[in-house]
Amino acid sequence: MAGKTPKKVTGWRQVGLLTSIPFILALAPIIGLVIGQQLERHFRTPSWLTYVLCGLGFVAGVRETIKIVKLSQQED
Amino acid sequence: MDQARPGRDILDRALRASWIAALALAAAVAPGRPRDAAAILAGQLLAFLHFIFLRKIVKLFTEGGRDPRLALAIGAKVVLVYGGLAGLITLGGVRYVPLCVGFALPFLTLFLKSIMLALGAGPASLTARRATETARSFGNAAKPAVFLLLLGAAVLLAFSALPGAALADEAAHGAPAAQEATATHHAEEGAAELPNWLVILHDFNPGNPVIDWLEKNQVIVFAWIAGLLFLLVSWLAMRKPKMVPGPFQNGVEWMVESMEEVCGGLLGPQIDKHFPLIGALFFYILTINMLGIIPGMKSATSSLDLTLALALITFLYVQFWGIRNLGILGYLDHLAGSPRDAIGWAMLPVMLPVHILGELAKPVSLSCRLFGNIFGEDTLIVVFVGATALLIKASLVALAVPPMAGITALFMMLQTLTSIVQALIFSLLATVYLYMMLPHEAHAHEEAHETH
Repeated sequence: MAGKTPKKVTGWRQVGLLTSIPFILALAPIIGLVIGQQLERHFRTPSWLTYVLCGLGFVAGVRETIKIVKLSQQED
Repeated sequence: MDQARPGRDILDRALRASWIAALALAAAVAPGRPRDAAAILAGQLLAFLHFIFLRKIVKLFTEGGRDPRLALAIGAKVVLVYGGLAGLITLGGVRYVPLCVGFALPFLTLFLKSIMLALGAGPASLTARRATETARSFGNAAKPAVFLLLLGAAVLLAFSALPGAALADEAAHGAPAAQEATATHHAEEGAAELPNWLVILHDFNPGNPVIDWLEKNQVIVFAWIAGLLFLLVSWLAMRKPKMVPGPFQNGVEWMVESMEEVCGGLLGPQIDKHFPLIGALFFYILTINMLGIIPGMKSATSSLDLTLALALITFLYVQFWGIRNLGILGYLDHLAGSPRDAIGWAMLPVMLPVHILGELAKPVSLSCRLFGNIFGEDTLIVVFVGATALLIKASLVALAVPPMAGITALFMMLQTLTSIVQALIFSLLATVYLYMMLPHEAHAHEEAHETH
């Protein structure tokens, strides 16, 4: 059962992984932004927290993208 | 036997198909909104030029050398495509939406063409080349049958769209206030999807509290219907399992085993533990997506609420197994990026939020993708069914049914394909996220490599 995987299926896994890159790249900074805004509203801090979390979100997006690309190139 | 055709041919065919779609769309829109029809055609023309120039640029670039024609092609592309877009928007006063629709058509047809080829639905597809003569003759017989079935469903959908339009008409001519409110309600919704049986029931029974509740919570109702259907099929297939299974049991077993094999290729022996959730996700999403093809029903996955809930379940499941396998400390260590030296610990305040944000981005991306695809499909069907219904209402049946219902049926066929693909991708990505969280030799090696 857990033996060979047809090539086409591996292809679909690659399609799934690689097409998730734009979503992750776009959504990670947005999530950072939203969390930053909520934290600012809650703790009444100046707006730097939003920018920092947005930047960290961008870094997280790039990091996840690299992981995804590596994973998509990995053989079963 | 067909030979593999070059990408140029696929592009040509996709561009031809996009022109047909653009002309059909413009013809449907032209009587009411001639400026929008012109904007669709202008968008299509610009996207067409974009692809033509892109092909030329890639060709010149790959041929090597510093060809002066390369700079010329790039300059012409920038001026004509981007300048044309900017000029149309700023000077021409063109509306964004029809222009974007026209511009997106070649991209959409190219995307759909690629999916069709990958799935073996095209003459030059990989599977068609590998197929045996028997399988091919069966496929050739089955394709028109499926197309006719979908064509019938498309015509049925077009007629199901008519009561809504008739109601709106009556309301406009001084019908009772309740009907007027219903028409306004539909107008406010923007007709992003076809009226399902709950909406029609609500239109004919305004003020009924039970129907009101059902109509307001239709996503939940259709998710329940899909769940019940899924349970019913599973129960019927496994009610009296036999050693030599009948066709129904055999079909269900084949589907389950195929899916298990697909995910097992990645998770290995651990698949036995996780397949109940992954398999349920695949078949449940597939059932929900397929429900939308049936006239009068709705794909609950065209709502972000449901896709977010499904992604949240996956996220919590993955985190639960992460904690269970790694332990609380191991899980926190994983979240912190496994710091092993002074630099790693110094980077902890940065790496921890980066990891958390990365983990959060996964379920949101899963849900947005599923929602976007299914919502997009539904909207496309609405556009063509709406055009067909308007033509039927204007007594232009001969003009409406053959071309518009044909296009709608084609889109429904593609909806069937993308429903399967999206369900597969959702469950495969859930498997991949689980794989990334579980301790795994290759994964551990990769992480160790990253740390160093």
